[in-house]
Amino acid sequence: MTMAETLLPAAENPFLDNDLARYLPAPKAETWRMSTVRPLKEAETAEIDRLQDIDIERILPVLQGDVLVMAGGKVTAGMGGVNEGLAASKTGGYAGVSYGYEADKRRRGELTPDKGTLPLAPLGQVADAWRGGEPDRVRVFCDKKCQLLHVVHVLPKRGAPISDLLDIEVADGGELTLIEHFVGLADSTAWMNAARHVRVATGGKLTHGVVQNLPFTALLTLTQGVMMADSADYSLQIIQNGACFARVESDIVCGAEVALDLQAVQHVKTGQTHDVTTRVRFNGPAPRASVTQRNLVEGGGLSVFQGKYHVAQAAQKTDAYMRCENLLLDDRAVVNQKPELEIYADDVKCSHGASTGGLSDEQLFYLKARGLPEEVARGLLVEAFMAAGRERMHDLMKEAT
Amino acid sequence: MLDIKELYAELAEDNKAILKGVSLAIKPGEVHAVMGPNGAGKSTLGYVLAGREDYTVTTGNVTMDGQDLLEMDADARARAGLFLAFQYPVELPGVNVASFLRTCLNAKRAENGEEPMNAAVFLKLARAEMATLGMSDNFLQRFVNVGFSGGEKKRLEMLQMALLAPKYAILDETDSGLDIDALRIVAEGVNRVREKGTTGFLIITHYQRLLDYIKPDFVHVFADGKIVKSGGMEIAEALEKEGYSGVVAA
Amino acid sequence: MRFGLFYGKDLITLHALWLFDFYLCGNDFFMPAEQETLDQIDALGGYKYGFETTIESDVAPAGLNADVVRMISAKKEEPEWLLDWRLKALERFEAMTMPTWQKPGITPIDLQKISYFSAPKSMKDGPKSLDEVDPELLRTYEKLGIPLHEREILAGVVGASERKIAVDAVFDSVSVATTFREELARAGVIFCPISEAVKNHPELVKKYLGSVVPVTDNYFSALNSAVFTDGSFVYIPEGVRCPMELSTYFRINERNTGQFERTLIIAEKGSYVSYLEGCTAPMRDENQLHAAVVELVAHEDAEIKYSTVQNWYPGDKDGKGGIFNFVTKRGLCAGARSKISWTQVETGSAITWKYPSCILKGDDSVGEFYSVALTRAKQMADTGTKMIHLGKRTKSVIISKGISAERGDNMYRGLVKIQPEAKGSRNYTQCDSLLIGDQCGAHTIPYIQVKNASSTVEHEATTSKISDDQLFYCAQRGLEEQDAVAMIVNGFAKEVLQHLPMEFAVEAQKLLGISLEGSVG
Repeated sequence: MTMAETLLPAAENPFLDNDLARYLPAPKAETWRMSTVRPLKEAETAEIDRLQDIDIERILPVLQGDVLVMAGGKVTAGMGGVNEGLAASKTGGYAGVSYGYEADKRRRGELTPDKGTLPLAPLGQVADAWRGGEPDRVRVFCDKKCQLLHVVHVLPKRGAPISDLLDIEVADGGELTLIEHFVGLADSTAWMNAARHVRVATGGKLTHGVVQNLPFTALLTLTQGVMMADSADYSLQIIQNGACFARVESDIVCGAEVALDLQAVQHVKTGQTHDVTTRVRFNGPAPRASVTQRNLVEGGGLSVFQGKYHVAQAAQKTDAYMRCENLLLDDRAVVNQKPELEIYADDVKCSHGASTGGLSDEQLFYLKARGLPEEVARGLLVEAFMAAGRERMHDLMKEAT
Repeated sequence: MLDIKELYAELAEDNKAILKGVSLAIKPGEVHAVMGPNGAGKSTLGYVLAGREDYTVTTGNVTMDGQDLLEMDADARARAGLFLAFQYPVELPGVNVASFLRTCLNAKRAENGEEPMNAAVFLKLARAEMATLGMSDNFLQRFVNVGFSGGEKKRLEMLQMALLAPKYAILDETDSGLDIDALRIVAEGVNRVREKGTTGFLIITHYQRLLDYIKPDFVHVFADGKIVKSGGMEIAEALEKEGYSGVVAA
Repeated sequence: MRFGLFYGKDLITLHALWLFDFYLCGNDFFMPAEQETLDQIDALGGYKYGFETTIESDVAPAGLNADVVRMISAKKEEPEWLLDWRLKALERFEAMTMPTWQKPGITPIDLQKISYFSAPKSMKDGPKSLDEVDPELLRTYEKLGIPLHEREILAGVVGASERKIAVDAVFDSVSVATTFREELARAGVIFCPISEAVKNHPELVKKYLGSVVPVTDNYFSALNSAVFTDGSFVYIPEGVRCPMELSTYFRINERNTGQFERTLIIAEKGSYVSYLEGCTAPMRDENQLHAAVVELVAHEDAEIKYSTVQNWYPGDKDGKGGIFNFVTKRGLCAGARSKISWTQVETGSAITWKYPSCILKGDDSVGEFYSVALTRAKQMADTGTKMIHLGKRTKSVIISKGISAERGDNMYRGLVKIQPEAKGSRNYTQCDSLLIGDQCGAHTIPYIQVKNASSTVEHEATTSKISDDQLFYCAQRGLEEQDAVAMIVNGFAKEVLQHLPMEFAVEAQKLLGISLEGSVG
């Protein structure tokens, strides 16, 4: 199957219509959030490009380990052979990287672990329709110590919304590092509407990286439902650089004694909105969680940090921490933050902190007094601020920036 | 007399037996040292006597000057004259030392039908005791144990002991975490109370070094939940030389 | 000397000294009032203020419409402009709906079943002096411990100068009496019921009424604007340091009435005022509505300190009855270097929605918010503040302490907003929650928006419980459990309580102790 075959011309595509609204989240659900989806409303509804004309390999990052490439939400089998070896040989130790879309198993609710009460329902009808035809739903299943897996998502030039679906399941004894890369064709104005269904079973360990390096004109919504069974271990590491609007939103449900670690670093520049929104619900005793974020904001950029810990009565001995630090480089930069706690158990250790400010005059002076020119000193401090945010991330995540 | 007879106690949480038949009698003015290896249950003895609810007494009895101690709540035991100096004193954020001490003192006075001590008298008393313990005045304004060094915490315990003038005082590993100067000050604090001859002491310690400063009248070796050997200072010296295993085995 | 010692920043120090027998102990010592709290806990019952006064009242028929608004206006003998203002507010109000974003949702209140005006009958013609006030009313205030008569209130302080508080007591819908008026008048201070200010100082009322909280700011402010009945008016002229604390006590007495008071405080250039309010209500099975609006304006170099001890009836242990306390409070730091400081202790009401806020417009102006909110039984409090930084180098501090016990629900909701032009501004926020028991809830929702790089915003939040270790430690020193809890809770709330004027601090500490009785163990 080639890329060309997977794409239907607009006239033949039964899913194509000009009603973007039905892919957008309900206004009521949006009142909770701190970035506006206006850019999505204004996204071009033009038909998706024909990808066969594009040299995808030219924009693929150089990666070690197994690489799975999905372009416009479809697994690009036949694209320079990148995926064939992986799918066939399973050398990485995955029980299976399978892909394909099975219509009868399309359980929409599955994407959201606890439907009905969620503020984080996936944007619109994510699994329902894809403007370029049926999207692939890739499933990564891991039940032993696996080799590193990269999944590269390529955004075409135009099209909105483009579904991009991935199920990740780590079973007992499984240990997986999966890094997702979002890249796009230059000047892409497409909107990728991605959904993830993540399950980590008891005894499973997942390190999940998200590296967003989309062109400044592209849009991304990445919505995740995460289920962590008792004693599961999940580390989510997010780096955002590109896109004019990018929101990574996770709803994480935790069992007893889980270890959750979410780290995010955003560099937001003029005209960009970066949003990491996370809701964590602790349903069992003694979970440990840490959510930390660092935002570097300049120009008219808007950075959003929104986190919520919901500690159910059964979640005694919760030890959860949330912290966001913002460095603003000029007076047009904007940060919105809302670190929420909702606690129904009394024997818990929950704290959150947020700090926002510019570069420290004291530090700048100290560096200048050591002979560094202003610009060098500023650069040094900015880099130090960002490096601290990446410090505990996977080595390949650090390189990705 | 603080009279402990065949005391058995277990952890309420998992019914794990910790005290397995402790018998000990302490008279006012006497100093008893209980020494033993880590995990022998020494600290549990202190907690059980003070009335901590994490432990259940299964059999045995304890009387303090004829009163059945085990029938009383922890606060009533304290007001009746039992004092426990904690190994790890607890922080009370926002509660300042002066107010805490005066409240405790007046709770005890009320029990004895005495008038509450007025602020001036209290301050004078507290300051006098603090001076002898080498504590500066600003201690009174700090929050109880919050941000205190190990030494400061122990000094505050000694200050409380001096002010509350207990009939029986249990010192639980009071020497842990102290440098030699602080240790000396704490020992002097104990010795000053001891000189009055009205307080019986139970000193729980792992090391002999505290006993260089506070000479006990009796030394007991504690192992596996009970006292396995009793005698005088010579036992402590033997422990120093031969270690617990040697002494316990002998 | 007298006022120099008692007011301004010296107040806090003196507060401490006073409680500790200043003359006996020397002046280098800080002693809080925990002891006094503990001493009095035993002496006091549950809700101390739940008595009912039997006074014949003049009550408007239930219902809300233009006629009722006209009746209120007529009863108050208001000028035409104010009636028009009210009617416009009613019109706007009728187009609005109850907000639903608050944490504790409530069943809709039937506003047609509430009476919007209730005056004790004997007040009809207005008392000329205290002698003319219904003695039954005066006894009510005595029971509330309000020093309505002019007298020293710090009886028993050895050698201390007398300390005066001017009190305006609002009983249901009308002001009963304002004390010390003459002495205040000599200083040029106006302190009177707002209905009187409308008559005597219409230019001031007209200028400032609705200037900080616009009529349509929210559902309840619109309602209040249409039907407000009374409240206090304070005007401090330029350069005047108000010679005494000003205080208002609110009490809802009549069944099925709402209380809609309106308070307006204006501090001219370089002036200072400290204003206190206390609130009580009798026990009732029904929910009663309290929807006040408070507006503060501080001009250049002026400072307003506003303290509240709110102890409205909270309902019974199953959540039956109690006051709905939906209040809009906002201060405008209009001038450079002005300062507005809110301090609140909230122990009462079935449901509280309240966000005393500051608009920091003047350069270098300062906003402060210190809050203790305690919820038990089935009480719910959704409270916090908004600090809007507009001027350069503006500063704000938020310290919020939430205590939840039994099935109480406590929410901090706050906004810190730093606009692009507010260069060099600072905010520090600290929200701490203390949970007592495993049936209660503690929530924190801070909204933070920063729009310039030269400002610094810090936010910290923690959650803790009273640990068994702490209780055992106190017990080992001879303290009974409820005394230990009162002590620990007061310690937790200390950073806020020390910002209250002295008599309020004592009352607040007692309230915290009493409110928690029987909720532990």
